[in-house]
Amino acid sequence: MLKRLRKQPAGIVGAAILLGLLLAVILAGVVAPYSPIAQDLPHALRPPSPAHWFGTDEFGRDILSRMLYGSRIALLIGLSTVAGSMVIGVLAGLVAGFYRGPGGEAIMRFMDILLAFPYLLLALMVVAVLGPGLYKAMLAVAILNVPPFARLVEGMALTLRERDYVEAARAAGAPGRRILLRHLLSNMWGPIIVQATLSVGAAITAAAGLGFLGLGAQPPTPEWGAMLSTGRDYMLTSPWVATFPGLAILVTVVGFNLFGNGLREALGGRTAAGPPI
Amino acid sequence: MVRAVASALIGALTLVLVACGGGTATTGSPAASGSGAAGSATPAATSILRVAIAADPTGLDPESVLQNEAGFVTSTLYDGLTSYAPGTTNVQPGLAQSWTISPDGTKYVFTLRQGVKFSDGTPFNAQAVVSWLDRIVNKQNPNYVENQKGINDFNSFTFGDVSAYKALSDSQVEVDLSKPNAEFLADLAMAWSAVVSPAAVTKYGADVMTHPVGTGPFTFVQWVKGQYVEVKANPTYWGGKPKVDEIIFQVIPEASTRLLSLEQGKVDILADVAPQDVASLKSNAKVQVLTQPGLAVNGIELPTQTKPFTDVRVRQALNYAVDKETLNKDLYFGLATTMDSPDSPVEWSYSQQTPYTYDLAKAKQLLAAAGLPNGFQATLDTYANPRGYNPAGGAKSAEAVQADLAKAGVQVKLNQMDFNAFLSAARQSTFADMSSGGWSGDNGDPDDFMQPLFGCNAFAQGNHSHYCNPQVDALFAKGIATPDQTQRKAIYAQIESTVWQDAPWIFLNYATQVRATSSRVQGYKLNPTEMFFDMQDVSLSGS
Amino acid sequence: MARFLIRRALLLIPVLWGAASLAFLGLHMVPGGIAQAILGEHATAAAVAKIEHDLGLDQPLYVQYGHFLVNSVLGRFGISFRTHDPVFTDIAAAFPYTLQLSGAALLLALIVGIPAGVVAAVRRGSWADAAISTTVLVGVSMPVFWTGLLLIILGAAKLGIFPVSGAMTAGIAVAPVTGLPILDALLTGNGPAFTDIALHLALPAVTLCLFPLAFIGQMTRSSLLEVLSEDFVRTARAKGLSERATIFRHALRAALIPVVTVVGLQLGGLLSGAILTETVFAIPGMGYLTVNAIQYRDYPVVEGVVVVTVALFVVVNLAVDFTYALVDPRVRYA
Repeated sequence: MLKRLRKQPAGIVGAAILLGLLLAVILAGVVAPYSPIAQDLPHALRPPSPAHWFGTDEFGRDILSRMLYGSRIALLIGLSTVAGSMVIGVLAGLVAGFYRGPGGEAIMRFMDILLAFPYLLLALMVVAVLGPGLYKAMLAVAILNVPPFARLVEGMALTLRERDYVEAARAAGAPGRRILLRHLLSNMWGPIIVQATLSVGAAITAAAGLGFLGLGAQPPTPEWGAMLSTGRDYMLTSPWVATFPGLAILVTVVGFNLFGNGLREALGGRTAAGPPI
Repeated sequence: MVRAVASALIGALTLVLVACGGGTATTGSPAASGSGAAGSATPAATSILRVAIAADPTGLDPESVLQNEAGFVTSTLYDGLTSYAPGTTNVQPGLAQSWTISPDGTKYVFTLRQGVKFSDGTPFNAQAVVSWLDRIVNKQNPNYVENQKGINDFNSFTFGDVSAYKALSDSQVEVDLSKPNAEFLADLAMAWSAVVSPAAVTKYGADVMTHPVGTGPFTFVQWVKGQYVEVKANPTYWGGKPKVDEIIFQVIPEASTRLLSLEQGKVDILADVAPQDVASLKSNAKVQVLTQPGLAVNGIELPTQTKPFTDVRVRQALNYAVDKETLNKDLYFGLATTMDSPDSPVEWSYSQQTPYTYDLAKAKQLLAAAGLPNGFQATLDTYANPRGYNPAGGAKSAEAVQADLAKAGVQVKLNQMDFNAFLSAARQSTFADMSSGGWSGDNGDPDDFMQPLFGCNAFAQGNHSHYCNPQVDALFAKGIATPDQTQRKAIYAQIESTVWQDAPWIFLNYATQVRATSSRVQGYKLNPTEMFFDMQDVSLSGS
Repeated sequence: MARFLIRRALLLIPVLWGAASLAFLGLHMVPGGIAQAILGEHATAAAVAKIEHDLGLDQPLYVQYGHFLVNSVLGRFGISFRTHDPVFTDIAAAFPYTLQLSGAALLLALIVGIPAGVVAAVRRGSWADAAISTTVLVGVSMPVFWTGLLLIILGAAKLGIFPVSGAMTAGIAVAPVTGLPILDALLTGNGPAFTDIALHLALPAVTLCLFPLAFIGQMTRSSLLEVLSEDFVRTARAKGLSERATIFRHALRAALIPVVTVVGLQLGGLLSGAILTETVFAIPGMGYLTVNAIQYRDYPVVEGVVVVTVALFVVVNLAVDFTYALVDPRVRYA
């Protein structure tokens, strides 16, 4: 499979970006020129210069250093929330799409409610119950991302369960669980991976939205989304404050997406023997 | 086949481009005809003053709403019995030409301006004033203001002590108070105490909210909810005919969009300017930036009844530990000045105290004296959005304070909430965290300015530090009951010095009020209350 | 089929009840109230108590919930705490702007996304595929408010072509026909108003369309690739059908099934994206209404908005499932 991935130039670019991100995560403490939280008000909002490659923010903090440290938080938010929503969403979607019945119906209608529910209100509710903070914000984001997975998997399960090979397996007396795992799930990984890679970016930006409301990572934590949201205030006068964190999010998400696509191509749709993970 | 798909794609793209291009080709006209379109409905020479406001008003009945944006609009439509001298909060005659106060401060006789009419033609006279007061005070009045459910108002604050009112003649009204209230005349000048046409109240009932009728320099045209409010000049205004034909208050929630709108000449006045944008506005020749010291204080409230904040040395130490000058210069872009009294310098009662000049050594020394040589840990509750008294936003100043206090060994954990949840937490009687605090004055009176922050009975309002000094409380009671301003000044000077020494806050700064106008705007003056008073004096050059 | 539709329609009731109850409980769980939201620092304890009493917020929660349920069943959404208008009026005023914005964005996304996805799939591995895929990726990776601000700075500030904010220039009026301003301007032949509204709509629609565009493009591409490798396509090819006929007559139809799902899914995304877009561009739509109502704890409006949005959403999902069944006869109605 890795061999096939190597033939995907886009996937390789994606992998390279993710590798860079991983390096930033590991080496932030070594390569960052400044402390991510050291304030230097007299040098606030300075444009990029040899001393501060990406300029300074409204507290005179070095944006490059904050971005390097921020990669840790971004990766944590992106991967853990998506993993959480994926597991729950896939299970819910399989149950609803394969077994159907009133239970499945109830699950999907609950997903409708979640999808249509104002995101801001949902976030405020979670925070009201648990209090503000990064981990609580991540929980809110994870809940938020469950329905797309569930909908997607349910849709695929609805189609696949009528396919000949599934019907054949059923006729042969295979137990439901085995049909689910061997025949259904193994044919769904492609779209699920596409969805997951695309969700990483959505998760990072959603956490950013919470950060903007002051409900996510607490200051002075260098969270990219919060940095971007702050930068919005200085967009017209000191555009670098928002530009670099925005670019960091963009590049990371593009990296995840390229890699996900490459992986998908490498798996070659249904020719893959089983789940890649 | 590939070619077919490709051409389909190109076709689709062309469609989009044509859609955009169609726009591009005609852009010159709509941008121009945009302002012209509104103008074309009225005679060609119409001069329209456009004011960008950050939120839609919640209503236009002065006694039933309490929201800055609503006040911006109603202050152009209505007058009060008293008013503020332009650019100040000094009380001067308004619809009442003069008044007398009984020596015990409980009986007011107002002599009314003659020949004034409401915009619906109803004459303004003693009878109008009496029915206006009756609607606010008399529970039996069919249009009693408080019959509307869930309205937010200042009526109990301003009119709570009113016990009787009667017309002495066509032009004289007597108003009696149950106890002396030294700020009554200042209260009457507020936008929230404007006189509404009694005929309109009879006609519309609670719907005067959307059908405002006053005696002001402008009269109401229309309110397109969520978008704009349009008012037009009242040519027979008693204070002089307005110099512009119309004002449009346009709702633009996003700060950068407001800024661009001004720079492009789409609006003429920005009601809210973020401090970080001022430098770029100042360098723009087509824009003028207006500033005035604000009627506002901003600081960090310290839980005075919780250890270790019970020790005044700790509280003073924290005051010395914060570098206010740097904060004001760099985080507030020079648009804030360091506090040197709990009172604002724009108030007549202000008396300057010795500032807590930044001195880290002294801070550490005081902490050591209090038995905390290694500092301590605490939580600071705050909120993200900017407020009038803190244009950088609670969290920004809290973050700067956090970094400064860390240098003195005090480790502060920030706890950011949405503003509403923050207020609701800070107002609990059990609240024991540090918190972002601040206040904007309503009427320019020191009682309104300091009592809600430092009075023993104000824990559920602005006194989140639970500061309660019986000596200060006695002085507050004396101050509000004393009619003479010179005597009051001495009383509030004593309050200011005691509160300053007790240091229930980390006293940070006075935010400067900032507004920006296009250079076409002439004669516009800021008011410390931020309202749009005296708009009849504003003109647009070149129109 | 009729039974299926009736059953799904009946299911709308518990879904709406669930959503409304979730909104009700959620709102009451969140601290803070309308009184201090509006009065802010200046709200005295007495003022807060009076307003809470006026609005019945001092009653036990189960009593409030009971009132709420009864009123909802009777179709009484109540009066907004903030604007004092009937909630329904506020929603009816805001809805057309959101519909107009989301519709324009979705249309753009479909017009550009599907052909782009087809090209990318058919010319898999070519420079066109790479270019399309990359563009799509960048598009989907851009945070909505960031895109919005960039477009404002480019389109409005630098070029000066597009208006900076709002739904139309103050003073422009359109005679109501359908309720959608842009359609009404078109139908009544009001040229200047149409241009004005279209110009106001352009930047927000482009901002909002990027996300569904990326999803649709990517889904079309991967779905078509998958279908192209399936037996029936191979059979078609083997029968000697031209590549073009194979793709358009057989493959694309099957490939569009997941795309339909994605479009349905995107409606939820569109609504939440619309919240940010409307805020950035100052469009007085549902998103703007919702944000304000939540910030002000304007309970009746929030509950009204949730009920309307969820209802809309469920109906759209129903339509999606229905389309599903039409394009893929193998899906049976249970």
